[in-house]
Amino acid sequence: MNKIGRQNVDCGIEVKMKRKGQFKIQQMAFMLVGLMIFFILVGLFWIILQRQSLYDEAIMLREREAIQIAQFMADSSEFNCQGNPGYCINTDKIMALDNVTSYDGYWPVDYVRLAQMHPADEEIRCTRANYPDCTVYDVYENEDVTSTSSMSSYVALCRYERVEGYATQICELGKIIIGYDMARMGN
Amino acid sequence: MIRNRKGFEFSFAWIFAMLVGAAILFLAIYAAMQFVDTGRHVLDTTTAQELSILLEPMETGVAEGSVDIATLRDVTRINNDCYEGRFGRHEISISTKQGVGGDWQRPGESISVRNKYVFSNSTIETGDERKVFLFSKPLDLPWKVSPLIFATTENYCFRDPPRMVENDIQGLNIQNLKIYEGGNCSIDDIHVCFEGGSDCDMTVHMRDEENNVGIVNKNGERVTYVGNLIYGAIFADNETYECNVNRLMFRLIQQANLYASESNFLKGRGKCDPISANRIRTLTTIVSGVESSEGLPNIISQVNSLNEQNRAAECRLWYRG
Repeated sequence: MNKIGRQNVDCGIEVKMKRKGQFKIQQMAFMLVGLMIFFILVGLFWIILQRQSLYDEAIMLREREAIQIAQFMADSSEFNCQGNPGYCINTDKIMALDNVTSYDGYWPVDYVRLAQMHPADEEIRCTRANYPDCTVYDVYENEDVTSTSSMSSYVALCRYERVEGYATQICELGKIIIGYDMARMGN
Repeated sequence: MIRNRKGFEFSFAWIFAMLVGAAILFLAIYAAMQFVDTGRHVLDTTTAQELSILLEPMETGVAEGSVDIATLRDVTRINNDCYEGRFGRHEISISTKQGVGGDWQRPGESISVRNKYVFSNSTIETGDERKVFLFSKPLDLPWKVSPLIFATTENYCFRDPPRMVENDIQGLNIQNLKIYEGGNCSIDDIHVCFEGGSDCDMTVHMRDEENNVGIVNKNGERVTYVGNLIYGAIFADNETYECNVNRLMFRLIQQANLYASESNFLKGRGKCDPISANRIRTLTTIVSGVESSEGLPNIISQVNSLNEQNRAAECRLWYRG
């Protein structure tokens, strides 16, 4: 084979090798892009799972907090009964609290409501004008929080009444209802 | 052209693969580290929230005190930042260590707690036991203003405490609080001396044992206490203590206004004849003048006087105190 003929053969081999190399690069690039997309999808899936579990945990924590608050709010001096500490709420105090606005935003709940169990079919909002002939007390409302769920616990609702000339404590069965925002973390 | 068939061909494809491979590996490792960091941040935030919820049952209820031990997942640093202003608030955040002997990670998101009064140092660290000791006692001035929550991680040794403190420690059976009985305290414990002595980390001077009023000296500074605030003065740093005292005084004023309003309400309706609203409001005036713990003893005589008048009234507005 002459010199020119050999050069042509060499060129042909080089072109073939170049094409093969380009094909390999393309193949690898596609594989890498595919790998990246795979990792991104796995990452997105992980983030969605994490978000869901975090949301579930937040809801569980809010529920736990609301239960605890319902149980122990009744014992705070702002609500508790004289001489009957624990699960007893003084409705006279609730009526007095009606005028006090300084507690706005203090308790980490949306609202606190008290409901008398009897009569069950009537829902009469309590005001100073109709107290104690009413069934529902809107105790506290937090404008910073929007409620999406609520928890309740049984309590005694007590008040003073003058009976036969003597100051007597009258108690009725009621419920304390705490409204809270399920998605909110912290106060 | 001579070709070396035994030589290693280091083609563009190889260089490309190595560079991109390294980039992918770097990105993967970085992403994994970020995931771990985010996961830890989330865990720390969740732990702070759980800890704040754990404080709810510390409200003493009908009991005179309650005790709890929180065992955390990791060796933990708890940051308790107290902020004044009206009711004030605590910002509680948690940071944990990465690996054994690693550095403290940046704290998780802080959880804001407005309706609790937590007395601790602004930063407390759990030991390898990962335990936080919590106990609570009420503050009666004259009614129960609020439960006081005390959080500690270190061991305390009380030397010659008064009967009241001794009863509290033994009654509540708080694991990390000991009464000195010769040899049962270690040199690493924090020594709290009531009657003076050597090697004391802090000293407590009771000025009025009947009303439980006194002073706690530590780190060259002193704070004044009344009632169960004695534990706050011992377990909290001075800044946290003073901050909580101010917050409690604000709440006491709001409660006094509430009791005064209740008194007017009951009297106005002829339901009963309680202590007069004006007498309750005198407490408000005195408490408004309390700017730091130093002013606490000034309210004691008024508190005692209100208690007597409440007891003597036809119907009592409160039973504590």
